[in-house]
Amino acid sequence: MSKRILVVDNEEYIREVAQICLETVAGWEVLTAASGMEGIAIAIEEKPDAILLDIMMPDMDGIATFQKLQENEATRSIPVVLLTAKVQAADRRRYEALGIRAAIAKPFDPLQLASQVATALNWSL
Amino acid sequence: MQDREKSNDQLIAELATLRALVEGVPALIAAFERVDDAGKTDYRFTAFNQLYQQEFEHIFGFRPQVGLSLSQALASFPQSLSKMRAALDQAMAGDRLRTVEPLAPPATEYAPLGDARLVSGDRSSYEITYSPLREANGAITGVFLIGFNITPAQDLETAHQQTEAALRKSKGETELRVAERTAELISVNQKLQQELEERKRVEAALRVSQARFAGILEIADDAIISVNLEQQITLFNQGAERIFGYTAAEVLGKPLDILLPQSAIAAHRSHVQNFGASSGKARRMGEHALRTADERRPIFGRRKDGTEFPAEASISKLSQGGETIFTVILRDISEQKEAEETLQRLSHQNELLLNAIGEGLCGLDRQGRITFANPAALRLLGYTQEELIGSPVGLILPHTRPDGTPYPFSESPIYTSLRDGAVRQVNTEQFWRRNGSSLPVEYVSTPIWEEGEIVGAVIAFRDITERQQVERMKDEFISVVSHELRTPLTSIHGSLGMLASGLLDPTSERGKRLLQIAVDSTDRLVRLINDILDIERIESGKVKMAKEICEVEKLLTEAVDTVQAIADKAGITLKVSSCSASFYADADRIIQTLTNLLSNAIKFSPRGETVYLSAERIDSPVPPLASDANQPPRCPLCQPPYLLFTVKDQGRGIPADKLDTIFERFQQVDASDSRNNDGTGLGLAICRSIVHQHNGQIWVESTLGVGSTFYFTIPLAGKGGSLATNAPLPATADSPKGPLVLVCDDDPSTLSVLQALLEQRGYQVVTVESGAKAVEVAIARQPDVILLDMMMPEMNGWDVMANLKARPETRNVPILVCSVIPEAEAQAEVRSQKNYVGWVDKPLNSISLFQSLRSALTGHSQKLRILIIEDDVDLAEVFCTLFQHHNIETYCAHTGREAIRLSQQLNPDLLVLDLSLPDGDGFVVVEWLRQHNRLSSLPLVVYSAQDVNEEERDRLRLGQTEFLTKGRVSTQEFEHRVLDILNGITKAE
Repeated sequence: MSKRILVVDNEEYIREVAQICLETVAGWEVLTAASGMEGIAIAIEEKPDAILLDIMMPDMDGIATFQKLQENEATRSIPVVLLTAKVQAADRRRYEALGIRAAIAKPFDPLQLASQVATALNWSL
Repeated sequence: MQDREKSNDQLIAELATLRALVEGVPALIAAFERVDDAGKTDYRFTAFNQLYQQEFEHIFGFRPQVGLSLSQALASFPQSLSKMRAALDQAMAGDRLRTVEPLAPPATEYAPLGDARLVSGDRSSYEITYSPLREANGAITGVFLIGFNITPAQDLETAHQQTEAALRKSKGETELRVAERTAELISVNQKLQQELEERKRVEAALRVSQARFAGILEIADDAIISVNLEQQITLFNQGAERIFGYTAAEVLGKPLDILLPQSAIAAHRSHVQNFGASSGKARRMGEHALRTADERRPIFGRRKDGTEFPAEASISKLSQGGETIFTVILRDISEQKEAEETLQRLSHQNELLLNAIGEGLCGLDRQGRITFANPAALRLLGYTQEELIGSPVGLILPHTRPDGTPYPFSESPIYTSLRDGAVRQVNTEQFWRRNGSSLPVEYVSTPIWEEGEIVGAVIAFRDITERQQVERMKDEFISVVSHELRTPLTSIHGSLGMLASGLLDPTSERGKRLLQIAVDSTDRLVRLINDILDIERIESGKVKMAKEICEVEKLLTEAVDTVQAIADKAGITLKVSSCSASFYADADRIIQTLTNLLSNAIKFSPRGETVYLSAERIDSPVPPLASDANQPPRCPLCQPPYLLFTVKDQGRGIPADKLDTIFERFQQVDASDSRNNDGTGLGLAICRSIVHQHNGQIWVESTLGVGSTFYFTIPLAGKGGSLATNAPLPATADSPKGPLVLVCDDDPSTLSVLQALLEQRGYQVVTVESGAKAVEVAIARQPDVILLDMMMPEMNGWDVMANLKARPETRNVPILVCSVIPEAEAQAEVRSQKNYVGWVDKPLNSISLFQSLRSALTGHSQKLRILIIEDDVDLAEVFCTLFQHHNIETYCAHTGREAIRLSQQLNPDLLVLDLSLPDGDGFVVVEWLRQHNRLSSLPLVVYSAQDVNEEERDRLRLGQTEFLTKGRVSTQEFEHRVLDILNGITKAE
């Protein structure tokens, strides 16, 4: 069954490339948001199966966005995978402690992106 | 008979003196003579001092008497008797015997008579010497016993004081005894007069007595000197000879003054007189009744060679038959004083060091208690000395680890270093201040060893708050840069990866879009990398602003041309207004700044709006009413005159809280700027760097929804104003005054630019705004060269030249024409006589200006000499050719040794120095030159591949010194610098 996934990144090109990758490779439906606030709004509205979240965003960063999603009844159960340049061991431990499922490094491999998300969330492609 | 009487009187007097001496010395003194008692050898007391008598009484329980035999005296103490007899026997045999004993009988003997001090064992110990007493003919007639107290040093003073006290106490007794003795002797003398034989015997006895005491005197290390009331020296022992360097024969009968420092003579006399008049019999010299022993004034002696030395001395007096004799016992304490002074100096130095040091220092004892803390430690920790001393070091150490687990002292590196004696260094630790706040520190714990044992440790610590801040900022910056670089890289990698996979048709809409993203992102990455490198280079000063004379209008036009296309595309109108002025700046960088600001303005303006660009000259300071809307805003930090550039848009504006940070790197107003995929987040940071490199200011004013206005200023040259440059010619006080240039131009802004430019290079400048004024000033000031504009109202350049050449006083001043009209054109028109030495085209190019100036100035001077010190033979050859073109004698040295030799022989006008030389470095050469007067002020150009820091620069300075780095400074620029310096020299000579 096809998945609906929300990509939150302030960089227009990265949203676009991620969207094309996921749609082309996995056939998922991809929603995009350009900021944390927009991402939360869409998540509440659309209830995606997972959220792919950038960390370094101005105003509200990925971690703050994640925490807001956790505080909200409607979005609490949506699994979140980070898309970030910061994937050092220490960073991963920090993400885990926060309850984030996985972190995928930027730049990502366009052909592997979907399977990386699927593996992290125990989905079958 | 008369003679004999006199002789006896003298003997009596001497004996009395000696007696007084013997009583004054803090030593046990006794004399024995041998008696044969029925074939059995025995000894009899013939003399002893009070101290001996006291000690003897303390030990054996009764007072010895003169004449008492030893066997009688010690009848109850057989062991002591035989021990002492053995010692006396040995001395009688001619040996000198030294023993250390408490002058006490063995334990078995003293029980019934010994005093408490003996039993408790705290009795003084004496080093006792038994010496044979010889008659003039060498025959041994008796034995001297002298015992010095060798109680440990700290007890000495007490013992000494006790002795003195005892002596004072018994002074009455002494006098009495002396009087008795005197009476006795007088009666003996009377008998002598009756019986010759008797007299002889007594005389002999007196002589023996004198010899005995004389023996004692000679044994003493201290100087013993007696003077009579007239202050004439009457006795001077061997100790005195040693200390003062005089022989007794030299000083006997001389005034005591010869042994005193000049400055002390008068005072000493009065002291002695006072003492003579006082009732006291003995006193420590330098002591006053009202002073404590600590306040004793130091006394000094003077040696034969005139040197003075500190001394400790006591004086005693003896009056007898109306005559008073003073006896001084004196000890040279120079060594002791020196040691004390050294110690004091060292401890003072240490104290200064400890106080001056910025690092906190705490001393700990073996148990980890704080034993000292320097002011820095107290300041850093917020404690007072009293609070810290004696407290366990745990007071300032953390009790928990960063993760919250307990951190006992036994696990601290300080504790372990106290235990195992190894030095511990800790790079990050928190100490606790008195107020409960934490202090991030790095520290070293160094154990103190004493005789193989750890007795404590010293903790040296340093506040690392600043270091941590810098580290944090660096981490943040790296993290931001890494994110900024990864962003376009992610787009490129993702889009190209998709296209390469074949999953997408590259000609499809999506395929084309991905290609576009890849191309755009590549552009962005390139810009980003360029910007990052650019800002790094500008801020680190690695890129020098290539400053030249610029025309404001020209720069504005160029900047507008650059952004016109973007403006057209965005539907934005550009409006420009400019003043006409010249200024000194890096034209490309100013254009870059303007372009950056214009692109931003265009980007954030809605279609159809206008962006304004203007430049104006500000000559007056901030007006009183700065809010006047018609007045351009002023920069309060800038010193007029300056140029004010303005870029004004009607965009959405910048929120107030972002106004301060907008010029920081990667700070954009909000996410939706999203770099629009063309900004890098560094544009304004670069603008700021460029403006700062020109000594200008940049700022922004903005109203949300109305628009933003960016301003920047570039200082203009002029009186009081200084031109911006990051490589000014060092105009040190000792560098020669530059040539005087008269500049004539009717445009004030040209004048001010030229003035600043010339002054920057060390020229002296005088400016005039008309031809008539130029002639007047040329006559009055006799300039070395005249820089002349051609197109001027009233009297033009040709007229001025003709006028100057017609006057004998200005005929020989070289004239350099400065004109917008090319030389050939002007010549063709005017066909005038060539009254000038050079022609410089306007707008001015600083290089050709200075070249022309140089040739105008050096045209008829004698040849200059340069010595080039360069180990690379080819490069040296290039330099030689370079300077020979300028008619300069050029010499090369390839080693330091050669450089030193040639600089002596040639006496060059300038040195060019490469720092790396085969036989050492350039520093050695400079060091050598510095030590040679004539060469120590030579102008020097250090031209080396090696960067030199400030400290190295100081070591390399000779006269006027320039530092140029190969690779950064072109050969051409190097050549110009050398010529500039020589130019100054030409003038000086």
